[in-house]
Amino acid sequence: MKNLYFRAGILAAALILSMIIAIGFGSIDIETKIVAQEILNFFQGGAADSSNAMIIFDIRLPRIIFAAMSGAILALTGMLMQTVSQNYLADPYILGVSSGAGMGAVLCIVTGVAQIFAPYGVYVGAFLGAALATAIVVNIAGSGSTIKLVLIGMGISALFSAMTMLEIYGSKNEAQVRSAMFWLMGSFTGLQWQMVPIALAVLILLIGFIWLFRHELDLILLGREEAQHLGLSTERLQQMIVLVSSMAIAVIVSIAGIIGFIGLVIPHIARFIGESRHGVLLWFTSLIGALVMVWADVIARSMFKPEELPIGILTACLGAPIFIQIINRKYKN
Amino acid sequence: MNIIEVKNLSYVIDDKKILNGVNANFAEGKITAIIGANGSGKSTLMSFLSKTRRSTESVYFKGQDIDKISARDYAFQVSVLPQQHKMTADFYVEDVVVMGRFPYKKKFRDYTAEDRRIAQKAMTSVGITHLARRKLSQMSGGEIQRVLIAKALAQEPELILMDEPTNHLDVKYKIALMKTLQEYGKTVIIVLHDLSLAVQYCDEIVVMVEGGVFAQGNSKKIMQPELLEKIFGVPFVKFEHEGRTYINY
Repeated sequence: MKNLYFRAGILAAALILSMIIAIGFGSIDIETKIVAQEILNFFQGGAADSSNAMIIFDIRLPRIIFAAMSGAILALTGMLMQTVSQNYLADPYILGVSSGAGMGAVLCIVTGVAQIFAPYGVYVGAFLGAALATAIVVNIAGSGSTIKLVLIGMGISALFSAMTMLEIYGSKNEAQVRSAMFWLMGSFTGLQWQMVPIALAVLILLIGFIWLFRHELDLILLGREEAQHLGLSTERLQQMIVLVSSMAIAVIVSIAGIIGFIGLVIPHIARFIGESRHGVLLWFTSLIGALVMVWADVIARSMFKPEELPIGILTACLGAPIFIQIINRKYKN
Repeated sequence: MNIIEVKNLSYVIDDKKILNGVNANFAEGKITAIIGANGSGKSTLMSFLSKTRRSTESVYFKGQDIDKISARDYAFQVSVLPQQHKMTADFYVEDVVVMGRFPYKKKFRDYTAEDRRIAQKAMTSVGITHLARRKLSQMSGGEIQRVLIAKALAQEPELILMDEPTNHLDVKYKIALMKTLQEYGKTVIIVLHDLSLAVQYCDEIVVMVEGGVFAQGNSKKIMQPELLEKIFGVPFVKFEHEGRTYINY
């Protein structure tokens, strides 16, 4: 147990350090020393009107904090989906939930429905899309085999992606098309402080939910029948998981677009470094998810600077080979 | 006193009668073995007793229709060891065993020190204390089987339902399991293939043939070569050795 606290402590320290270092990277590099100096100045109530301070506090800091939180949220959602489907290949991206959210969001934008319910129109659309996709996957695949679930997820993902492209193709408004396209690839560009509390609320909700039901989630992994024999009604819990994770994905997709594979890969690493009980796994998944996303965003910002690489493209490039590797290892025989 | 009574239970799937009007009584405090050839409906009957399959007004637990008993209330009194386990997670052994305490656990709380103590006791009784900090992925089928048996005991049930629990176990642990069940002193209903184990350690036998109960009664009386030959279609011998009864084919 002590050992676990130690490992979690190291991860937390690494995360905070990474976030500070990450501030320095971008289209203009700022030395870590200057970053530290500006942060110190800020805490001492010093003047914050230098151009460096503006970049740090108005542009990079909100973005990095949001990236860290969205990494944790995506990873936790992946963990929940893996548990509820008893399938370690599940992930909001692979099961088509993210595509569903994207389809819903784009539909709202191009039809103008988003403006009617502004500023929440995109969120509502994304949530309905995510919930629809999840409901279809869960109902069709049920508790079938691993491969069935993944394949059905991919089918749904393809379907919703095609619908999204149709929406974009059919749209007459060029500005809308460009914003929809860019955001479908996933991006943290231009993220502002007002998005931070929204992500924080979602993260707190997710962590709270998983913490309260940590033992029930463990039981699901014994198998549905086993859980029932221990007096747990899995159906209601399953519905709650679907609801909570659809909501979390909808918020992230609405703000930052579709970012794949974080939800798939991170829980695997977390089980390896931490352990499988949800009360423990929860913290390792959040920390590692945040850590990885902070660095993925650094790479996205600085690889082709001054241009930015959409983060969704980057995580797919890194995550897809790992996904293939997991399948290859699991089905070797 | 019967802890479970099965009254005229039938189950049809795709026009095939899996269970055909089963009537059986299971006495409280006794170990009852269910024996029969493959496809005779043993596992299906067990799935009704464990509430895995739903029945109405056919299965009674302590006089009450089990369909009217909630899953949670049933879990307080009955623990189930399924034929196969479908575990995805790589938990530590002690963490799996303590899950047997789930019905007793307060909502949102952790397992208590008392729960851990009872789990520890259950591990001792099946001889896996030394495996407590081992992960399931590092264990053999037989060892996992014993972990699940310990989990079932940690549930402290009135009734234990086991479907071929001796499947993965070698001879030593088969005997150890049957002795543990005897010492536990509560009601056990167990599907067994090993007929010598059945006659040596079980008080009662229920014999199933083609989805119905063919015979039921005291194990010493019922386990006769003539009856067994009728059921399994091969000749049997029964012999005594150093005060123990053996059945062989």
